[in-house]
Amino acid sequence: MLAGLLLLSGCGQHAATEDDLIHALTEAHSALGASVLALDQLDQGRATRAITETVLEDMSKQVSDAQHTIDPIKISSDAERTDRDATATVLAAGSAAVLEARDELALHDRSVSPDGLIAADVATTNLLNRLREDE
Amino acid sequence: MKKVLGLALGVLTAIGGFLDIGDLVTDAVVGSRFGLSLGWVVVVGVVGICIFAQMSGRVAAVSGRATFELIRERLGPRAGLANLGASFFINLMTLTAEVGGIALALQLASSVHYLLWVPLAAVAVWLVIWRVKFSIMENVAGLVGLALIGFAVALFLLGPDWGELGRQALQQAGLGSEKVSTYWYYAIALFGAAMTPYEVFFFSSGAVEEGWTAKDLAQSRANVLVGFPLGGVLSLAIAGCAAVVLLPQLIAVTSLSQVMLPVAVAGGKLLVAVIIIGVVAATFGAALETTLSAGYTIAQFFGWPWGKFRAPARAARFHLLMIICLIVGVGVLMTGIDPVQVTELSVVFSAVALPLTYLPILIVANDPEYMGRFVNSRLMNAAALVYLVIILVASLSAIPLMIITGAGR
Repeated sequence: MLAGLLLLSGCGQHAATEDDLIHALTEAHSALGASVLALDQLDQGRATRAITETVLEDMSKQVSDAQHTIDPIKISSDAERTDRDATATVLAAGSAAVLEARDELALHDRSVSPDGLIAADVATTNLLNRLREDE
Repeated sequence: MKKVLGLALGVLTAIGGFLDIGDLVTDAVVGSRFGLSLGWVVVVGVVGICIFAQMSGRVAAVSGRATFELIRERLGPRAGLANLGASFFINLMTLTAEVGGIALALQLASSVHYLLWVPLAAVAVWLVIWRVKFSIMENVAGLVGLALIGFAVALFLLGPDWGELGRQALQQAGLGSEKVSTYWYYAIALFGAAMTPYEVFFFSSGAVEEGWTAKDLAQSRANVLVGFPLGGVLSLAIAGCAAVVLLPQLIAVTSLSQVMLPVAVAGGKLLVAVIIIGVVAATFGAALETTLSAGYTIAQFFGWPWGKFRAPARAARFHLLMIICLIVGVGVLMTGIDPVQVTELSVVFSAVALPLTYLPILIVANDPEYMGRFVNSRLMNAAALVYLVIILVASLSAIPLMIITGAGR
């Protein structure tokens, strides 16, 4: 019975770790998607600069918060470490992309390319899908 | 003709004044995560607030006294104090969220960081309460709040697949990657957003402020039974806009700025500008109401002079209390806490406190000593009892679901 409980708690912890990583990636994907949409609307003249700047500011905080949520994750296997490290890398790239877009918009009065954001979002989505399949 | 215009004004004000930051944010969040599958909660919430607001207005019009004055008298100081404690705390959270909402909306219009707007918003709220007549204050906020009809326009312009929205509303669509517990957590949040306690306190105290009598019951009924449901339609429109634009892209709303994106897609800068005006008006109006509610509840419980119909010098403690509440709200916001998170928590805690708020109203509305022949009808009591059960279930489930879901994550 004790072995069963230990096994269950191990499984439970693994599930919790994967859940936390998936949640962080979901938040990042949402933030990157919103950033791309906001830049797209600005480019089409449908959104104001103020709204786009605010969206990028809010989304940079959201990705940053997502990065911080994986800090306290305790890993119990090499596979989990690999997943955590991959998530950290993807989140860092996402954060950099949003910050770059935000700063580019603030510094230069011209349309900002969403390519960096899209690339970061693709990487996030790929990892997210892989973790969900492994679950 | 004057009567018809007065009726129309009341209804329009009720529509425009229905939404606040809690509704705006929660509707958009659920739309972006669950589509319209939680639309039924808006309907249930609107019916509930109609029942209790109508009851509360009738109590004030017939007895000439506001809800909290009667609660203490009818239920005794202990029960009244428990009610006061819960209601005041929720009210203060809601006030904080509304002032934050004003600041966030102004940031969207100006690019100036919302923290710089917070103190200015609070001062503006105080100034309006201090100097502007009650009816003007209420009517202007309500009428300008009608700009939120822009959400209904946006939904129409988006040209959605109405069949798909209908399937979501009838829950024939799946939850996607969302968990059932999260679905019910947001059901309770949406219910709490529709039935926030301050609406009832403000409605009843407002009836006394404006000197309503039994002759005004028809106006009160029209405001509630026509205005609130139409306001509820706007709630569904906000959720619908998020469902059409954000849900397919898996963009979950976490900020007020994201709420504007579907509007931009639908109608461009002009519609966005109209909506921002509406959001400022709605949150400003709600900030006025929650600030006044804070003053009403405490002053009425302790028997202090209260009301804008009295000169400030004659209701000094009432006005001082409101100033203190605004300062507390500003202080909380200036710590940098996310106003949207405060909003999300306030609607859930509203659901927790609902039984304490609504049961006393039901008791007083059935007391012939206060109501004479205007006591609740059997039908009204039947409906109110059904809602009391719903409210109890929501109240008991709110905190466990908050813990299980990690506040809806």
